[in-house]
Amino acid sequence: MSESTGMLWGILREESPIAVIFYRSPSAREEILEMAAILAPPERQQRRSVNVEDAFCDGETLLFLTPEDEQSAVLLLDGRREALRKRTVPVVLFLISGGDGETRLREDAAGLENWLRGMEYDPERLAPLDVEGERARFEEKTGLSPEQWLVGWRGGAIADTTENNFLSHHAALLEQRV
Amino acid sequence: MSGNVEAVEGEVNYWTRLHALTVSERDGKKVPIEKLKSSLVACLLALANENHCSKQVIGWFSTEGRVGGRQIFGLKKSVPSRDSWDHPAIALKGLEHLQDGALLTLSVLLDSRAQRLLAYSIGIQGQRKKPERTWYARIDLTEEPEGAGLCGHPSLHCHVGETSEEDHTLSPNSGEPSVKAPMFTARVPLPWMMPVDALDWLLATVHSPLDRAHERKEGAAANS
Repeated sequence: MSESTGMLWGILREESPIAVIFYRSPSAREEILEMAAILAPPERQQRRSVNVEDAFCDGETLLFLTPEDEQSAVLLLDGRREALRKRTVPVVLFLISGGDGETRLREDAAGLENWLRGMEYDPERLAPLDVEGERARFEEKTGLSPEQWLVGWRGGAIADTTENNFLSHHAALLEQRV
Repeated sequence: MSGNVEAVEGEVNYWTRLHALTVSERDGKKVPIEKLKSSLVACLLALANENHCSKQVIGWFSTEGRVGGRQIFGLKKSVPSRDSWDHPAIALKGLEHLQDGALLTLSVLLDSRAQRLLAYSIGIQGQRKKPERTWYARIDLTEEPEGAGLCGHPSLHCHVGETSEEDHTLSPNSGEPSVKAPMFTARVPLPWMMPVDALDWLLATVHSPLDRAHERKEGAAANS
């Protein structure tokens, strides 16, 4: 249900040779790069590259790899993955979610994929929200369905408190929309 | 918008125009969702680097919600500090005007598919140093207008005072009102601001060295 900054924070501190971050669009990739640069350990040097060969040198630098040809990058990294073992800081490969690079990773690069356990981050790939369970919990807590509660909130009948502002966000998340 | 508060012109007056401007700012352009999140994380990381909160803060945020749909960006349930209503909160320290242990709460409602900011609530509460009294301020952007009117309850407003509204509502433990009187609350209307700007303002009010506008002013003076 949740994706946390803590997960990305942890990945950037690992000594594993490689990590993958999935993105949905070029602009989203830039946004995630910005977040990763903020969360990266300050003592680790970081740089960005489009050249996959950079992954095989300078193993002490946090390398954000944004190749133009993602599927070739995956196959090259998989084929030469033993050369990545000397890295003490991960190369962070950016792949578009559901794209050719991810397909190659899942279908043709089992060795590399195996190395990525716990080292994949996708801010959009949230585990499914248990909507019915969450709605039941909301109703148990407030005595109202999210829709009924929002009617009271929007009409000003529910006090404008921190608690109720937070509840309004939760109700909006669970609201059944036509 | 004109600085004059005009008399009601049919259905259009200062407050309806303020609301329209807020909605226009919020809905008129797509919000880069991850950038919005990273701006908040960066602001709190700067706070941690100044030793005003734990450096672990950057790992305390989570996103929960529906895939490709509505989501809430806020503090994880496992964050060690909590406010009196059991919301996860960031404990603050070393502030100019508040005693150590002041609490910052934060929740942002987003629509990732439409790339829209829908609502947010960011607040700081604590004990003032001089005089020793409770203090709180909270900025809320509501998804839709609430209450009777856009003047008394603008869609982007700040609550500020000594006693939070929680003190007038039912206690989560006893179920009894802690103050048995009709609730009175004043909401200060605000011009449009993004969540990170709201956070900036709240922090600057309790610790003036955190005023980033002051930083820019000094920087400009140094450059001249």
